[in-house]
Amino acid sequence: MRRRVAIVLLGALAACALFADLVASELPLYCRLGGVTYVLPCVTRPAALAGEDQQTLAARGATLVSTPIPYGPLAQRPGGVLERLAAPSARHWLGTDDRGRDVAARVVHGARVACLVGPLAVLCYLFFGALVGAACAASRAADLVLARIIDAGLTIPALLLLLLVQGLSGRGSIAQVAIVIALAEWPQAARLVRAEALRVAASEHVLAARALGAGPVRVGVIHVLPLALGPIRVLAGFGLGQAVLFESALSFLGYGLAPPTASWGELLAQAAAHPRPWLLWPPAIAIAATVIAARLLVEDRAAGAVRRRPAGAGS
Amino acid sequence: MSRLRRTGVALLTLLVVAVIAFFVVELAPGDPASAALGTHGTEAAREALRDALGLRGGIVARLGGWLAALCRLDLGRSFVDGRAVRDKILERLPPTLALAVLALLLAWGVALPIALWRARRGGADKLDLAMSLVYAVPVPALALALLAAGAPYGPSFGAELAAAACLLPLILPRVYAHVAAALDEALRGDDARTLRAVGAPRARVVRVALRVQALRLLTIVSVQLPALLSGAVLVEAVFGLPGLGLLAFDALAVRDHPVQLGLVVVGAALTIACTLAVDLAAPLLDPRLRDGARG
Repeated sequence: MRRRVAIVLLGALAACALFADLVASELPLYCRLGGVTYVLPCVTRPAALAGEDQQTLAARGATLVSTPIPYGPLAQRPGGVLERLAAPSARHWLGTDDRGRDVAARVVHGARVACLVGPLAVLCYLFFGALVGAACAASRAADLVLARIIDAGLTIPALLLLLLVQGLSGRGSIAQVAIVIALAEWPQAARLVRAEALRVAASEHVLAARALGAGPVRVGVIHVLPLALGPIRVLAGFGLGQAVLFESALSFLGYGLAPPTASWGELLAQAAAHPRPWLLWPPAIAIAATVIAARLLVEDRAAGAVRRRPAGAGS
Repeated sequence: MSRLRRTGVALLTLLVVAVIAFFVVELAPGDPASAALGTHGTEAAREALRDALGLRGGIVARLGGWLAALCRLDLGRSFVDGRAVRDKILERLPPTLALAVLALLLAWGVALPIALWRARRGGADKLDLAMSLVYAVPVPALALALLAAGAPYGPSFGAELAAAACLLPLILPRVYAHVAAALDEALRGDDARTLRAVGAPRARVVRVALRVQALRLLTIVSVQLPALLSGAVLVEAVFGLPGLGLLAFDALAVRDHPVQLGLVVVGAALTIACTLAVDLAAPLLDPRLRDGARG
């Protein structure tokens, strides 16, 4: 049941991200203007319609099938009208932001950032984590060094590190933000994979492999890693939520993606400058729903992990 | 492990942190001098700044210089006002420490009653799940919501308290999971069974159980510190509290990268010091760990 809720929520999020241009765009789904028919101009962006939006097209007497939210995430004056910080109304379901952009459109397009940054960061983070964890199990010398690095990494406040890197390299692309988040988070993954890998490394099939002359790389990658990936699923769900939270925190502080990209954290930053509830609650709910869905997806295993984990908490 | 060895491990961890921080700055695209001067700086100004920052010379020499300066507790000078980074950080420490302590107290104050109720009921899966999902609440949004609901702005106890409450999503799930697990274990233990068998009141059984697990509950404090310091950046910026977090935020805005680097190292050092303090205090709190004691 909970899994189903999670899958529906994440599916809706992915659909939002994938079809964001069909849900919210300046240009309509279908348009006939002056005898010319445009199909899905919101995706194809024909040059003839450049500078137009659904409001001006309607005013020029075009036949259109409009998108559910007839505004683009970057459009500051839809139909030539500037409405800054307008309250939610029939025209703007969730109001407008401080540049007159439709908040609903920005929330929908913000899903793209979450859908790209989250999985990308998780991939990097699990890759680093698994690699380091396996290396620890494969060789004692590597473990001595890497365990210290993991310990040190766990003591560094992640957001301070993120801000240091972002401050040096400037606001950047989605890939940069994802890699920076993974950089700050990988010790968490490495710690859990290492613990599991060391447990597996003590088992008899590893001893047998060693006796047959397998080297540390072979032992680590073939004999230990596949069995040590148990916590990975939980980590993926947890890490996805963390990455979305970190991205929103970075954007909130003004050091996430370069503007004018729509992101949930950027809306929260606007809510800090202009305390309006319609700038605060939609992104907050979107973030919380995404994180909860990612967590519920791995819930059954995670619940077990919560019960087991404290046993070794002191170490 | 002996105390000496624990101290050695702590210092070694700190050294590794310093090296990691050095390489992060080294490997990040863009260099501090151009980041500080932005697009306005001339090439000559950049060169002069690089000289002043000691950004010349080989990587080994610079790493050596950075570590040697750290040994003298010297974190360099701020780009903006030329003051020692160490002093800037020290004067901002109290509000953030107060924030961390308040947040931990709040987390305990919330987690303990719920865990006790859970222990009385003999477990509650839905409750566990709900508590573990608290981390999904975005901290900046919670802070803004509290501010909109009338929480005070600026340095005051009210603002500290509100800010501490906003940090709960970062620490409550873990604190609750540990407290609940520790209570479970202690109440199932032999000592609790004996106490119950001789007819001790429930409150006493729980008190003894908490005492038995006290050390383990204390160790989780240091585990929470990095998350608290990360969260401090967000809530101090929202509530206008002049702590380390606001320092980090302001340093970022003016590209004061020595301050940012110093904050990363000091943040890690605080965590390491806290872990070490708990480790060294353990025998005082728990007679089972004293030298010569069995098991």
